Amino acid sequence: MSDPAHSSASRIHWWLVIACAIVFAADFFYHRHLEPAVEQIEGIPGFYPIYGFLGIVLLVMLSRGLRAAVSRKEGYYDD
Amino acid sequence: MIEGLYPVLPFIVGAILCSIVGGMPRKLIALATPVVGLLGLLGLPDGASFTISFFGFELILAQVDRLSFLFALLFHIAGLIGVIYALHVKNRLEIGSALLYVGSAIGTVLAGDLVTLFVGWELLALTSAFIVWSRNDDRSRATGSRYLIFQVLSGLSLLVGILIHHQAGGSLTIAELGVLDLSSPGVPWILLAFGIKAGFPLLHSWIIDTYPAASATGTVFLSAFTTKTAVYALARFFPGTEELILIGAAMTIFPIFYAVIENDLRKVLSYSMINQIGFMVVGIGIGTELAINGAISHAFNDVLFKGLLFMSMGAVLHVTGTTRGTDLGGLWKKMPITTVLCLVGAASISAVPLFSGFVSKSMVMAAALQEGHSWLWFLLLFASAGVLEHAGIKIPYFAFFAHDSKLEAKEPPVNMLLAMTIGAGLCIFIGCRPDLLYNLLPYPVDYLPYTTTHVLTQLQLLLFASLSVVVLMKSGIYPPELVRENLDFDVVYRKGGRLLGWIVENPIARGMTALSQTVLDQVPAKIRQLVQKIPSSTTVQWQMVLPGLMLLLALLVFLLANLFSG
Repeated sequence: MSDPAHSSASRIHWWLVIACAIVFAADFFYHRHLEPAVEQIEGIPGFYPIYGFLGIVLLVMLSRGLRAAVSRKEGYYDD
Repeated sequence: MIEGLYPVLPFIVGAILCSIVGGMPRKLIALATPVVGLLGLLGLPDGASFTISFFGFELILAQVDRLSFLFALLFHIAGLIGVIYALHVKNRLEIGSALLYVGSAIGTVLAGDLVTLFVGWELLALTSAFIVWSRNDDRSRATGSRYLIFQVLSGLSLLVGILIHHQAGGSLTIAELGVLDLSSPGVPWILLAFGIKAGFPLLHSWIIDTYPAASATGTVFLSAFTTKTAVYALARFFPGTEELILIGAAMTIFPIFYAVIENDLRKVLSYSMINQIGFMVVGIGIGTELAINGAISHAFNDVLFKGLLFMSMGAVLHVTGTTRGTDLGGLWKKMPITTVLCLVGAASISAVPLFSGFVSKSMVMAAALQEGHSWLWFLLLFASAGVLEHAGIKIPYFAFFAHDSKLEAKEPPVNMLLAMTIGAGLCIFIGCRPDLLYNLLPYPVDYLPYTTTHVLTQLQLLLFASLSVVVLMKSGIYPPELVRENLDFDVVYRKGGRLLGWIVENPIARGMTALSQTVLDQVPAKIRQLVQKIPSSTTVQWQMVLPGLMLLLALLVFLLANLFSG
């Protein structure tokens, strides 16, 4: 797995990790404007990163379940 | 600008000319059509109207206000981009029906009364069906027919609704109507008509069925107009209708799951379209000035970035012959320009700062919070992460990156690249200068998209969602692309339709045959004897039969109307 495409992909992954670290840290260095309606939850440090990360985990897990339920062989309607 | 020109007229003339002439003249006429239409639109000042007399009935063909102007402007821009994208197409049926289709959409949003709106609504259905059929393969022929059934049902529902509404004393003039009340007679039928075209949950399956089946260029046209005309109609007649909040929320959520497991990337975009319309429907349902502005500006942006994404997948289809994730991958080396333009569309729909989605979607979400819909806000935030997953990452990743598919590919024709470049340019331009779009919105805008908090929290959401996708892919949890048919609500219509067909063909048809053989053979014989006694010229016969038929039809409509209103 040492082809150039693979290594450039892993380079992008590292940049992504660094960018994530920076924006996560930013939460502790500026005054975030909170929306009164949801401030108790939104105000938790790292709310947006956690919500984004876990949101995708939930999305993918449920999608696997959906696939198990609705996936049929191609040409299902042709029979 | 041209004063006194009904903007739809150039599209009718252009379509006729384009189906007669060929070669370079046709290209020039096709290009000139939306430009002349636009000049006509710009020559119509706010409050201007176009009326014609039709059998003593005054039709208001056009009534310009801020809402109708914005949509008509958008449709001219989208029409021009579409024409440029399809400039290499030699199929006369496709380009002719595409021009008529764009004109119908413009005519519908400009309509000043419900009768004109209905006519536009029906023409929109018919002309777009021809775009689907013009691909002329087995799949598009079958799909086009199913598509037309849905569109005609929408038109029928609108007609029934308008008739009941009018019979109950409702005005036909749109300017006098204001917001329609769901509890008044006929109005639920009108909402149902709009809902079919907007892709409300369970009524959405025609979008998933049709848009992946039309030609590369055809889908670019289809995706821009029908659903957005419905969004216009909802914003015009149903702002603040609370039921729309739930409907819209459902539309933002369920497609993102299907988008994860769908293999055909144009089908992924079709699910994505329902998700984006969901944001608009939510905004219309909330109904505050901020929410309506958000919904309308998001419709404007969606036509551009969704069009761009459909164009980039159309380019892939054009050069490789497929848009299946399982067949694609690694195309960025052979199609670097298309890749970059696709990424601009992906960033725009994902609402990355400096791209157009960022300045419009958040208005709807801010409005949800202002009105105290906290649960809705959490749901929309989840849906936003889902958009990033399928449209921001999955579409470009499976087409242009991932494993190298070793497919033969090159950049698409230069007109396709030009159309995509214009679309991408507008996405970035609106993202950087949102005030220009804001100035066109129905209400004054008191909203700043570029605050430190908004930019940073959005980046946090998007970057960590991306990280999550990478982690899930690397760990093998992310579901791989598979060549499968994923059952959607479509199955009810298609299996149900077959069952209906079986019932008609077997018990009913057999019963009828038996009936006609015994009893009905006698009756026609009697009628024949009677008819032979009347003067024999066929015209005379028709003159006698036609009024009777028309009376029967009118009676039927009247009965139906009473039945449903009662």
